Amino acid sequence: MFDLEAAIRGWKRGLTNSPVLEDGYREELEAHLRDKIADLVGQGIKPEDAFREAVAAMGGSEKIDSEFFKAHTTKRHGRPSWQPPWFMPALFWSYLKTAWRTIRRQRSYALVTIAGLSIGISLFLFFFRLYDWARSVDTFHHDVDRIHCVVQRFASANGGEDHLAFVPTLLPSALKDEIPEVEDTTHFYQPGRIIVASGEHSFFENHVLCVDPNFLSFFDFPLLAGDRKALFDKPNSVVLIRSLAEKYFGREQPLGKSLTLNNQLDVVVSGVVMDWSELPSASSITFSMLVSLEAAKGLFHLADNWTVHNQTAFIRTAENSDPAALSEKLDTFVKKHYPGGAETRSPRKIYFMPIRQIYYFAPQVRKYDSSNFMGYSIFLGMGTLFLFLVCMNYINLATARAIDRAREISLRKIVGANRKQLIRQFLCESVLISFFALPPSFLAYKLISTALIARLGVSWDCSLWSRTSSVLALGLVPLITGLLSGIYPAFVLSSFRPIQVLKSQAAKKSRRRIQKIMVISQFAFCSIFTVLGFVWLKQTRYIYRADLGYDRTDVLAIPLSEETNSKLVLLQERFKNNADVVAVSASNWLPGRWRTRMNVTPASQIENLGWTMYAYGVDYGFFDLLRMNIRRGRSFSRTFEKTDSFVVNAAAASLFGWQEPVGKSINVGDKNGRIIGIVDDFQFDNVHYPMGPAVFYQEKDNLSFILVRALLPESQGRLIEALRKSWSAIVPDIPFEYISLNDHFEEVYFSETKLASEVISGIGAVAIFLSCLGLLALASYSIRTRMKEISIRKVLGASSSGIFGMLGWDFLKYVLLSDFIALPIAYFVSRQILKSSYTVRTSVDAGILLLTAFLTFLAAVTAVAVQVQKAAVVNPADSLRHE
Amino acid sequence: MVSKALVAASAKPIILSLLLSGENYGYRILQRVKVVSGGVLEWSEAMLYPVLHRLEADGFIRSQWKLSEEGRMRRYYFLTKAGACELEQEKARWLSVHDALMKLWAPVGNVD
Repeated sequence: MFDLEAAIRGWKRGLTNSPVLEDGYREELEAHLRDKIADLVGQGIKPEDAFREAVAAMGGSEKIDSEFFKAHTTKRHGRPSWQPPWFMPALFWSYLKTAWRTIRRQRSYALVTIAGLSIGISLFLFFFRLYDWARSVDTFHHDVDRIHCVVQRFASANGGEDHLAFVPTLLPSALKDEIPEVEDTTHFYQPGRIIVASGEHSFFENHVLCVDPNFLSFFDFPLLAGDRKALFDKPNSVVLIRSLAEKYFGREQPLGKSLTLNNQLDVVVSGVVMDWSELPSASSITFSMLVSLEAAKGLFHLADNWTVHNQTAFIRTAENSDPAALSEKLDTFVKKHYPGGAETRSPRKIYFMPIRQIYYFAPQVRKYDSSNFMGYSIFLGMGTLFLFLVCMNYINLATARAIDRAREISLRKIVGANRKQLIRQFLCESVLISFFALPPSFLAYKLISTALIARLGVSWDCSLWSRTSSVLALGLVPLITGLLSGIYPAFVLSSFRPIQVLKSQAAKKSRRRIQKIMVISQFAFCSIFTVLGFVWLKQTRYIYRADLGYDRTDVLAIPLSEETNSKLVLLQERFKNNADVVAVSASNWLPGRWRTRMNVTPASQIENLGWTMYAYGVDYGFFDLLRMNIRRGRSFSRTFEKTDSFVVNAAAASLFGWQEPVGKSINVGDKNGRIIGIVDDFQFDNVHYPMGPAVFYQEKDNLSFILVRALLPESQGRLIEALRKSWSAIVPDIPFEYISLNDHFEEVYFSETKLASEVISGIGAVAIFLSCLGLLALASYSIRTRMKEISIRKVLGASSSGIFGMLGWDFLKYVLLSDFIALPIAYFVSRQILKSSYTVRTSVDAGILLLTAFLTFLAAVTAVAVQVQKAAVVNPADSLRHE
Repeated sequence: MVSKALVAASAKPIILSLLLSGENYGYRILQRVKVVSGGVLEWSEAMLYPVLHRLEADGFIRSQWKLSEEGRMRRYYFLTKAGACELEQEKARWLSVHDALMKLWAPVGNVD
């Protein structure tokens, strides 16, 4: 039942605080209130509602105060001097001052907090920037959402489908002519490595694209020199990126200068574009040189046809058209241009995939280039987790120091601060501290980015100021970190009861439970990070030593070019004569990420569509050189081979399903021949993939590398010089370069895993360090509050070592508990990640978990030992007298 | 809506004029203002009392606690002599403003 009189009494009590309400004023307002209520009730409104309405109309005492001020001032729009401006909370300056004093008074604590925060913030910002950069891939092209890559679907070896982003030369123009929704197209061909010569300098260049003349008007790579519309008007034109232009011409003006490609074709530089490391966002298409497709046709024997799928094609759809709705039109298109149907090696379907999607999110499509977005997300996730950890650390330190501030808080309360104001004050303080962490985090950002960018192998403009999102993050991250880490201490600190505090009984019990939870979860995080770091380290080593079916140590690869092909036998002979050389062979690519594929069909089964398999072109002696084990039959041999013959691996042999595969006849691409041997399974492609079926054929015309196995690793330097000498004696025009197979392997594959393990274990180490600081703070706090207890225990006969054990156990049990919680999680998570990303993978064993537990424990012991020791040896008389 | 500045400026003459017809109390004044202005002027409680107290401090009105017919104590305000004089002056000021505006808004004729 609503009691009007009681409600009015309550309301009146609420007004008592206001100093302006002099004698009689409150009564007058009460009379007013009663009149209004009587009126409203007279209108048929319930007393309760009438009361509420009347009170609301009256406004609080603060409103009355400010109106009172207005009625008595000569300023017309004056803000009462005791009210803060609208943009600042009350007492803002006082809070700032107090915060600054607190920081100065507790320097070492502030230093720890600020250091932690700045590491956390900078790490987060870096991973955020990296994520943002990767996320915004290709956005510098206008209408990037309308650009799609053309993908064809083929039947594959295992009855599934292969998605290929490679099309025949004639397809793009046909698409543009026949499908009105396709507004424009462009396409390019990746020729692989070519020799580029300027005067007497010549180099191999890897990132060359042969492009349609409209390539640079279709895409918006920023042009530094040249006329965008007329770049490829003359067929023998090339466009270079800036760094390549500097490599060949130094500081001279590159436009109009000539270069020679593959010692055959003279071309003229018609433009210079920006390096990809300077682009405003990441680019999925990277190149160092663009050659007009017209000119490249002669160079690489390209022909206009519908049968060779080797071009990457992009289309721009017309505005407001839906590429997904084109599938019917594309089906008729396929029927028209590939009349053979599914039996021939024609695509079943064509579809368009948005360019931004195909780069990261289409692992099923084989394409011009790809990258894995997962890594960036995982890094961002780790950055976020670490930031949380740092927040927790702040919370721990702040609550541990709370007792020191109890008096200040009590005094504030006594002179009239309410809880809301105090909470605001402490939030202000934590935000301020996290903004203090901003300048050092710039420094840390600089360090982190220079250290990591070199390792990541990406070059990009990592400045925080060049993108709106990162500038925004720069303001928001410290703010949110401050609020997040400040909110709990603010509630704890503001809850002190002045009377108890001033009687010197700090509130103890409830708060410590939360602190324990904090310590436990902090250490749990650390353990998880550490386990992940160890697992990755182990995985890196494991892959490094894993048996991939061949031996890549002490093997040098020397790139060949077309001109050297005629002299290949001679070169190999000369190389073999060197005393430091064990074996010489050649191949058309290198193990690491070798993924050429061909269609393979057993010759007897005409109906069978066959399989798409790895197909590797190699020279004599390849298997011996890489120490691959021939299981049955023999390898290629100079004495026997008259016709085409093939070596298959065990996986392929079992796929054919023959009892005795050796001697059976198969078709590989357009070659027909017998299987002469079976080699053990191996992995030349990405180690993430399972070892697939593969076939080796003899390559004669298109070998790209001479492989040389050195006798001893120590003699390599001498060997290289000798090889260079024999090389330049035979083919003086061609640059001599070499790479060790091991380096190549590390470069193409290994670097990311290694990097991941380094980053994770680095974060783990910093996390453990910070958590130990948190534990240290907790220990010192807790021991101070228990000093009396310890002294009494000693008086009653407890020994120093007994107390040491008791206190130590008190803290360390939390660390143990956190290990109990974290290790199973870490075990599960790391196994899951390994499972999802590697086929050749190590196991997560008990050793790693135990080592992690031991390390965290050791770190924790070191952190608390000093504090506990101090407490254990204290003279009870001193502390009891002090108390 | 009447602007804040106009409300503030007109509060004094309106209150004085209302009290010319006899003593009155806060709640009634508020309601009278609303009725007289046809709902255009709607003062807030928080504003009224400070203004009344200000006028009292300036000596234009005086107040007295009295028992009302309903048996409740109310603070009644009434005009002083100084208040009546002030009202006359206010009236002259407002009328001159009013005249000027009327002349400016006259449908025909020149202001001169």
